[in-house]
Amino acid sequence: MSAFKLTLNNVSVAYGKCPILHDISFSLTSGQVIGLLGNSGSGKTTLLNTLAGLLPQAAAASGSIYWNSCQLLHNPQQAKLRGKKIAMLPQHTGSSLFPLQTIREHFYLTLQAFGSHEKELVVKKASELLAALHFDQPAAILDSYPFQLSGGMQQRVCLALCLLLEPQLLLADEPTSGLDVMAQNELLQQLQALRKCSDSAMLITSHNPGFLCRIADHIIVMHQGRIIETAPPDQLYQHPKTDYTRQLLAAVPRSSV
Amino acid sequence: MFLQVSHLNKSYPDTVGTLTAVNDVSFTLAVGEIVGLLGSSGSGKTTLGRLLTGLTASDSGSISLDGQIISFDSQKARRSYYRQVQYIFQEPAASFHPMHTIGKAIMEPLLHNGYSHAQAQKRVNELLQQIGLPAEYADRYIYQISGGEAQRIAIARAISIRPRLLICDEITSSLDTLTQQKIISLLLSLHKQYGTALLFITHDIFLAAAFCRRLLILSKGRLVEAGNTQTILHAPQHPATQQLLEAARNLTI
Repeated sequence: MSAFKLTLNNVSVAYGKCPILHDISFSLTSGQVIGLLGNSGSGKTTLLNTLAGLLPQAAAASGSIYWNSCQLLHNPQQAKLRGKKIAMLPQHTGSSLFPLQTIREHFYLTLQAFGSHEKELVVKKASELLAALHFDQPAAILDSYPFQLSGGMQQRVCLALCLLLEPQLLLADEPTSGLDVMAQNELLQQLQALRKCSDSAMLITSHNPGFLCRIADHIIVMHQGRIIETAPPDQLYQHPKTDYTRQLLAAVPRSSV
Repeated sequence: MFLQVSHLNKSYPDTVGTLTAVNDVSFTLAVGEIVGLLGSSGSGKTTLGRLLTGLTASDSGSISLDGQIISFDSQKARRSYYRQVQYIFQEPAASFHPMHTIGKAIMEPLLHNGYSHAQAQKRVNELLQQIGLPAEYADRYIYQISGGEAQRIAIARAISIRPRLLICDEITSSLDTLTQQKIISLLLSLHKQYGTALLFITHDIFLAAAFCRRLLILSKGRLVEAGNTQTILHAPQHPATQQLLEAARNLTI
């Protein structure tokens, strides 16, 4: 897989007079995993939507986002990257699946969107992906409707859909929210395994520092739409520079044992 | 002891036959006690919480308060039980009527319990102050506030009639960690002030361990381990408890 570089320069986003993101700048290359840490309302989801080209029309964005040498912001080409080069795992995976279609049809549609109609190939690939994500019976999952799956299973199905086209960048929005600790732990192990076997980059948002430090090379702390701190996990957790980061770290319940 | 749960059972039909969601569960709560009820998704936590409040009818078993078995069939018995035991739901926004103001929502249990309209309005102001929200919030609707604020209002509504026990079902699971911390402090200050007992239902053993003195562990509908928090953290006996601890350790800093 060819390498890529994503570069954000002074990206700001506002809804009307309400600013959401201020001057966001950072870059990300193949194989790198960056964690975006911040509270509800810090702008994490808006940032991912901006990168995926999913901002609503009412949002005004400025600055620049380069995918290698191609500027994405306000560029209709951005939609062509989404799904193929840049995959997005949305926060509410349950509501992002179509209720009246089986999981098999979801895989067909994903591939059709990029011009391929080889159904047998899709089924083979989908089964492999589902097996790799620890589904014991991929065939039964392919025949299921979304409502027949638990929240954790829906999450894994969405992850498999994201990986179908071997994206170079995976955007994951609060992938642990709504999952119990067991399912969170499982997802963590799957993302770690994914890192080992591919050169995909990941940008993962969470308000749980513990989860991010197990998977990310770098953590970016966001507060009120700004980047307030960037550091490797160990350095961030041992020597947080801002009060806000200290508060976030202190709010995580820990074992007293 | 004031709440005694004896041999509760509840099964649901499912695709392959029956699913036993709660299987022969018995435990007691002491006056003013803070207890954590733990288990992974599907372990039966929510069903048990609903049985304890009569929102779901049990197949067999009993719940008694101060030695009196509660019959959820009688409206009178139910009302007197709810004066003492209140339930807070996982999804705060979904537990409010979308077309009623917050003031009206908090007032409802008060009006059912003998408060006049004026007294109830005064109490709503006191409660909003207690949970740290401005009095103007009484005129807002639930869609106009954040998830953390909605959960604080759910707490205000539940404590308005000063119950002796609050059952909290995953009440911080959809909130971020800073908001979670605020909600826990609020619960603890209520416990301190009024001696309210808490049954805190969660999948996060470290969160429960931070303030519950005793833990109950549910797995596949059964109560598989119960005891002092520190003992369980140091020497978990059942594989389900060990798994909960291992997963939580893997996800902490």
